[in-house]
Amino acid sequence: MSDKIKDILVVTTFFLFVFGFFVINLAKTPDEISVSERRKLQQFPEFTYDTVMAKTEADGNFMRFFEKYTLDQFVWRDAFRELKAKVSFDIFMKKDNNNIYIVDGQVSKYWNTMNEGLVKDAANKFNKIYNSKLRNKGMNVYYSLIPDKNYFIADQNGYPSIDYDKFISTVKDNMNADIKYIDIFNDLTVDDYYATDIHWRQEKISKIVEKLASAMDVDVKAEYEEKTLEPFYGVYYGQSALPIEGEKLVYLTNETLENCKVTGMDGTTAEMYDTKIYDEEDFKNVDPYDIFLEGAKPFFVIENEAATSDKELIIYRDSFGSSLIPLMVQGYKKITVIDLRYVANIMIDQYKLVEYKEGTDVLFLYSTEVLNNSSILKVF
Amino acid sequence: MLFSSIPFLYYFLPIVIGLYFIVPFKVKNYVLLIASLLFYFWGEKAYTIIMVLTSLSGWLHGIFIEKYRGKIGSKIALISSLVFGFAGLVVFKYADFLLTNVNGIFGTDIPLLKLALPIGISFYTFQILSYNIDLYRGNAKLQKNPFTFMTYVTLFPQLIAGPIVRYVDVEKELGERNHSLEMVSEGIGRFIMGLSKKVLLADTLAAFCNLAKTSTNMSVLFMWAYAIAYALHIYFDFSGYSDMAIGLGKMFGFKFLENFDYPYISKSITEFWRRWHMSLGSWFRDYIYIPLGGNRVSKIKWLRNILVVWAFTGLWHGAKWAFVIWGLMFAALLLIEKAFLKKWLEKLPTIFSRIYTLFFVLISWVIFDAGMEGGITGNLTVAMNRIKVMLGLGGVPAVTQETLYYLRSYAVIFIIGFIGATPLMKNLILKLKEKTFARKVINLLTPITYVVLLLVVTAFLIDGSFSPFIYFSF
Repeated sequence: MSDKIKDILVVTTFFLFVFGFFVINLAKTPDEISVSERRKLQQFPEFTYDTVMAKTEADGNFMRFFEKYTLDQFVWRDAFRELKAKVSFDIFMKKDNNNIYIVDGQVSKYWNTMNEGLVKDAANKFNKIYNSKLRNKGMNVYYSLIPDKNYFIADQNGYPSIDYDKFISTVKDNMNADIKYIDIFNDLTVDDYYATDIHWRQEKISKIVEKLASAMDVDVKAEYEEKTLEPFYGVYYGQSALPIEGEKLVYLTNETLENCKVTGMDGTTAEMYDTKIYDEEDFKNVDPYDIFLEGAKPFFVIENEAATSDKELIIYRDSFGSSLIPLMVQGYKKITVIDLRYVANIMIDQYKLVEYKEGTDVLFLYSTEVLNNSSILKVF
Repeated sequence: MLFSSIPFLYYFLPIVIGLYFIVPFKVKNYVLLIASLLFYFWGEKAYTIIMVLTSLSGWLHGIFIEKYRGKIGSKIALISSLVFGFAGLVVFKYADFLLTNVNGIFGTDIPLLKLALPIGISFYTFQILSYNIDLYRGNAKLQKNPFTFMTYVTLFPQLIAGPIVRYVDVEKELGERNHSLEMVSEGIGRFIMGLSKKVLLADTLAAFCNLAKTSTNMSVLFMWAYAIAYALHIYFDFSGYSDMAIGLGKMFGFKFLENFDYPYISKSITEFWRRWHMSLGSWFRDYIYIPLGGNRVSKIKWLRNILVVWAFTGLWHGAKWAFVIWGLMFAALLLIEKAFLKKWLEKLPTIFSRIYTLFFVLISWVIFDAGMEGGITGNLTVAMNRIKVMLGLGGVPAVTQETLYYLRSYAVIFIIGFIGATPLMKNLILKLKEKTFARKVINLLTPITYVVLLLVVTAFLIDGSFSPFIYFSF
């Protein structure tokens, strides 16, 4: 090819490229949400004198929001994100893309900084609840820590990882000694987690349920019917931006679960409403894991007249609890579910939502990642 | 506005290019002026008026310098232009530095101005001053049209982070320029290569630097890797910007001078500064060092000249003591080289002189990077601690598992960076182009490569986050 033809091609392709994307982006109808990234996308910002002259993003700066708009609404955005991930992994041979890595089909996001202060804070927050509400009332109080996937695959495959022994001992050293620890770290494997998600699989955690129940001296054994929904794309699917196959989401149900009374609290209005343990409609949500107890919700009460005991359980939990709690229902007449990320304990008290009765079991069940960022837990 | 952003690449650029090539030649400068003001306004808003007023001040001073040529009035106009030009820099860039030092020394409590630094003020101020000085010296002709002069000062390809384009270098092109297919093609290629340097290499290396700086598992190897990554990062960031500026300039018919010439292959610090940010080095040489007498003075005065120029070079990069120390460190090295070291180095195998140069350049970047943090001193303590770690005095292990992970993860980027920082590829392509068949193949691959790079860069921008150029801070 001659120099002149090369120059013609360079100039033509460049102008076609930038003009082409300019026109296509102008013509494109903006999307409301990104399903793969599980977030709302920036819409065209308000264009006024005030927004143009605004100094900061908080003041509604047009330019800043326009930049976000052009990024969020760029045509074939997901394909470009996939291209970036593939170049990072396959050309630059990076071991991760935005901290997301893949080992034997398991997608995970590594983190290697233990926020010791926040981990201690988490323990102290639980201690505060214990000292102010639970102590000397004849209640049986327990806590358990759920390892994140990295515990099983990060260090073993050369990825940065925290020192989990130190993590556990930090929690133990700071928790009130009267709160009993139930160790489940060694009862789990990486296969007990979804390949594309942060969470564990409900159909794989019966052993954990039995271990907790055994420690709390309650019988939760029950027969379940498995129901399968697919395709399930976990949170890491979108973050990895790679074409990974969808998984099956299996949930366990039976007559007891279908008949128990579930009351939830609206996080905004604090009004109570009737709901269900599982709602297959929620599988269509941005986060399909919402099928378990509606996903990110602050407060539930589950009442089961067919329980194997008259015992009650108060459980302070994060999202891992959503899929585990249904499997505890068999053993308790009443389970009170509190997610301190979405409701402050002081509000629970203000509305007198919880009865602290003698003989009640109390369980603090939290994953390592939430405890490592415990500033999100609202206690007082 | 950033070159490496979606609004620039896919909104601003096509609109400006479209308008520019549609309108007749006499309107082209106005298109560039309006586009440049919008480009600056996008990120600076209120300070756009400062830039416009500074430009008009430079143009007006030029009128008076010419009007009173050969008379004392011309000199007064020049001095006035220098005072106005430097006053802008002093107020916006150095006032708080000076006031903090005064308060510290005399125990006073003079309130600080706390003004935000207008982006690119050091670059456009130096450009305006170069015009006034060259006009006074008779090296440049008077620009009678204020809009043409403002087009020169605000020209968006080089407005924010250089190279520092002198008026005399574009004087002719401002009035008359050609737009050949070959030049536009060259400009596009240069722009895409610069964009790729910035987005694919500089930003990725910046991520590595941040990982290293925030690591809780530091090691000696990690700190060295950080210093090397930072050296590559700042090179690809700044030279990438210069490539984009030069490329855009060519698209619009301007030929800007080169700003970098593979500085990391230098065999001495003297050579390094002939290859790094050449437009700044030559500005200080022509407008400060030589007027002070250069090296044709007594040894004491020559020493003074060197120290003054390098203290100013440091301060130009930022109103912090860390930058002054950074500049004076180079002054000391240059003096030592001139005294005896350069002769010694020339007798040694090249590898030793390169190691010597790179060692001190790496140390200088560690100081420089820490200088961008902290108050008026810059974070010198952090710099010293990092250097201690590099020298094995930081009480950290030689290597950790985390270090090895990140080195493995970024190995290819480092390798591309090492190759890209040398003229290896450039020389190879030039060599191959001497052969007809290879030249045809390279010509065929060139547009394909550009399209692939544009696609990948776009992908990285869409999936990335806001990442301004380092030299915007100056």
